[in-house]
Amino acid sequence: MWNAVLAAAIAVGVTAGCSSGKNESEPSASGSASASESGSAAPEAAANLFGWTPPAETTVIDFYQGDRDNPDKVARNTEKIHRYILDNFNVDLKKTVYDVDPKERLNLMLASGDYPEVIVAMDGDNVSKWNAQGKIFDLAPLVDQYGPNIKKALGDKYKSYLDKDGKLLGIPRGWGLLPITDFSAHIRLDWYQEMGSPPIETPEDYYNVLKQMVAAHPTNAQGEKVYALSWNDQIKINNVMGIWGLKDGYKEDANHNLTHWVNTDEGMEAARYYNRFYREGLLDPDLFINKFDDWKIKFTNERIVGHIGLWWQSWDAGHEMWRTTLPDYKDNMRYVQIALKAPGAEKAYLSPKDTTGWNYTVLTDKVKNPEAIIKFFDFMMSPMGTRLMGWGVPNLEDSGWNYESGGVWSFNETQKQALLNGTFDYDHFEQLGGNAYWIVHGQGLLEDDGKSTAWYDQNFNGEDKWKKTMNDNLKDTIYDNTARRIVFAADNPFTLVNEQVEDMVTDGFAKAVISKTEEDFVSNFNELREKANKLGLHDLEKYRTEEYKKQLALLNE
Amino acid sequence: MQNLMRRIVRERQIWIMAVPMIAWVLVFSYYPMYGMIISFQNYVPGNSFFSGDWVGFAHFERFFSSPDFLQVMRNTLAMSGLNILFGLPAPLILALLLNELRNKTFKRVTQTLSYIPYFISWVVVASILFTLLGSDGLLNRLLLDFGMIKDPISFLGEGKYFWTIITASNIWKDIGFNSIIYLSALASIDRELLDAGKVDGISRFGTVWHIYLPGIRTTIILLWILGIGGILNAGFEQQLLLGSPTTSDYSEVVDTYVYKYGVQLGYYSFASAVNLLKAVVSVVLVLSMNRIAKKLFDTSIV
Repeated sequence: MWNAVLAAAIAVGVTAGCSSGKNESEPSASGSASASESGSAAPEAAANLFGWTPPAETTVIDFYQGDRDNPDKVARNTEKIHRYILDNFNVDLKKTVYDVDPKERLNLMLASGDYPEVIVAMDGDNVSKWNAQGKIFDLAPLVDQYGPNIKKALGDKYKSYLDKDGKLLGIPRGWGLLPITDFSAHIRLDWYQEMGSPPIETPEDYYNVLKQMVAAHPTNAQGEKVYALSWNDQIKINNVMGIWGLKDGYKEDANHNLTHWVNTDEGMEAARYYNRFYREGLLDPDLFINKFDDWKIKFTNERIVGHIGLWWQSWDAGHEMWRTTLPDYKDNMRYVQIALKAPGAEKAYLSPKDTTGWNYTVLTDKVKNPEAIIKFFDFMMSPMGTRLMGWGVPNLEDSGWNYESGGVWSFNETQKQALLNGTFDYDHFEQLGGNAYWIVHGQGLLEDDGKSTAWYDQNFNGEDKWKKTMNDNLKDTIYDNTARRIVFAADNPFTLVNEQVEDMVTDGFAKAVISKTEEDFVSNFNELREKANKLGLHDLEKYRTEEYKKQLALLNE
Repeated sequence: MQNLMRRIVRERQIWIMAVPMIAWVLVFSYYPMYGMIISFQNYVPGNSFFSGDWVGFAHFERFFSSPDFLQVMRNTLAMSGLNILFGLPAPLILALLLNELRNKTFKRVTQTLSYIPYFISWVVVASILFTLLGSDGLLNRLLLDFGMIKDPISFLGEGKYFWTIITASNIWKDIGFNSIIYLSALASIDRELLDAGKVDGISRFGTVWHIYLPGIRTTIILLWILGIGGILNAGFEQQLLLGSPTTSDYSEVVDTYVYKYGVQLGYYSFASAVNLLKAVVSVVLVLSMNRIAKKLFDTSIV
């Protein structure tokens, strides 16, 4: 008997031991550390400095943002703006991000049913998928009632965001046209000037200059090998193809028929171009392994003389780092952005612009107080709301801008001058919360003055020597790509084909680039072409063409 | 039935102690298995498991006819095969070597050091491998310094090295920990057999061959059967962390494939079908190996 009692006691002990683990919450960048108690009552407030009347009860906007980001960094950068918005608007913005693939996170959220009331940065495919499950809240009636600024900001295009039933499933973010460049080739200016600044117009010119630069600087100060070009996980193959006249990875004929780069001679030439660098030992052998940070270290350590990628990457990893670390730093120790155009290409299509926006902010079926949320969204989409959300906390010594009341604002001259003379501290500025909550505001020029934009540092492009040089060099490389947006819904048979093809193309391009001989290159490229077409690339091209033509017709109406 | 009840009453202390474990297995291992029915449906995330359209074996057929099928199976079997071929005997050899050490302090220190890699996460191991094997890594620098190569070799960027790197890192990580089971089996060998061997003048190699290995045969067979059963478990984290677009032809295995289509892309039914297929193959392999072992060595686990 006692044995049985003892055994039962051990069993209970084991069970208790098994369940004593602490239920730790998952990492998040919730701003709740500095937030007041959600839902706590506050006295009825009058209109605030921005003319917006804060709610009597704190509006809590608890959201997951579908961008891969570092939760600690996000928490740091949202702290001040969170406090400012809570104090002045009685709105508690609780942002959660994860350092994982957002697609993966959203799928798990949908499958588990564990998701917040607001999701920011959801792409069109996911909006469609979530809507099919009845998880998305229709915003149209609320926008009709509480969203005059939303309607005004989106203007005639508002209707294009409604689905066939007239429902507004999501409010776009990053919408509007900001006519500045994104993508280009880069050249290190001081070394380029050393060479006598030979003209660079074609990929061949660029290759020759980079090759000579590597010959002149074969190793860096630490004796490490220098390469002409590298790659990182933020570079998109489709943008590279723009140099050969392809638009976002597709060749477009006069009748708007689209052909994927894999099935074009231009695509092959682009891959061959990189392969040539590889075969001559001019390409970083770790190019397809590099994460952005790995690439940045190599770049900062002066091991990569050229770059084909986003404009800010060579700023971030180049002179922004050098000016604080190199004692003999000079102003021309930097990269300038240049346009390359392959012979025969009609134009270099480097920066596709989709004025629809990057993605959407949706309210899920768990939303408790949608009216209050829409009211704040409406403020955020107003010009002053966009300035506040884009430029961060105003009226501090280190703020980028000052705001009085009644719409009167000005840039902080000290910060502006710091930007123009290259001493601007981006890291410190980020902590004021500029664009830390990019929930619904656009990136185009604001309608009240026709020149401000939510990107603080882009407001002075005309006065900034280097930005002006970049924009002048690249002004003909921007194009409107709005009509090419396609939503691959969950029940669309091309959704899986598209994902499989994109996956295969990424891997196949990499394999072609690191081919050891011309024969290997041709064989690898043809194998990629054959496999992709076998997977259904030709059908995908047809489908994209049809959708593109439909969109063009709609936009031209 | 009466016999069973009598037996349970007789062994009640053991059964009571086993209740939490049985409950654990039932709740966490058997109960979730009903979810495998989505392999035969077009399951939509967020809905009930019983609400999807039934599609029979369509997802299985799609996997078999997919261009990925042969490549994924080849990679899985190759990496698992290498792991069984080299990873199974490696801890046995280490255990035999440790068993032969006479200096107890040295033996304990060596044994403890050999366990350490097992407790290092794959994320850290991947970082170590990038540092060692990257183009600017230690290995390339040594090869360059000794004039053995002209240009650095992209060990982690070329598919042909991938299986070797995975196999070697698996062995490095697990050899110490996996040797524990062999060491305990070696410790249970009757000392009288060893003494008898000494009297007969048997050498140290002879002791290993004629006494130790036959003495731990059951353990070896058990681990071999389990190893064969897990042949489709070629790893997951290591492939995910060390794989890249240039090595994908060699790095994609069943588990990463399931992860990609299930968790990343949201095709849960398709991913479940592939995983179910893997589980069925594993069970069949375990039972087959068990039968073979019983026939050949009169030893089995079931």
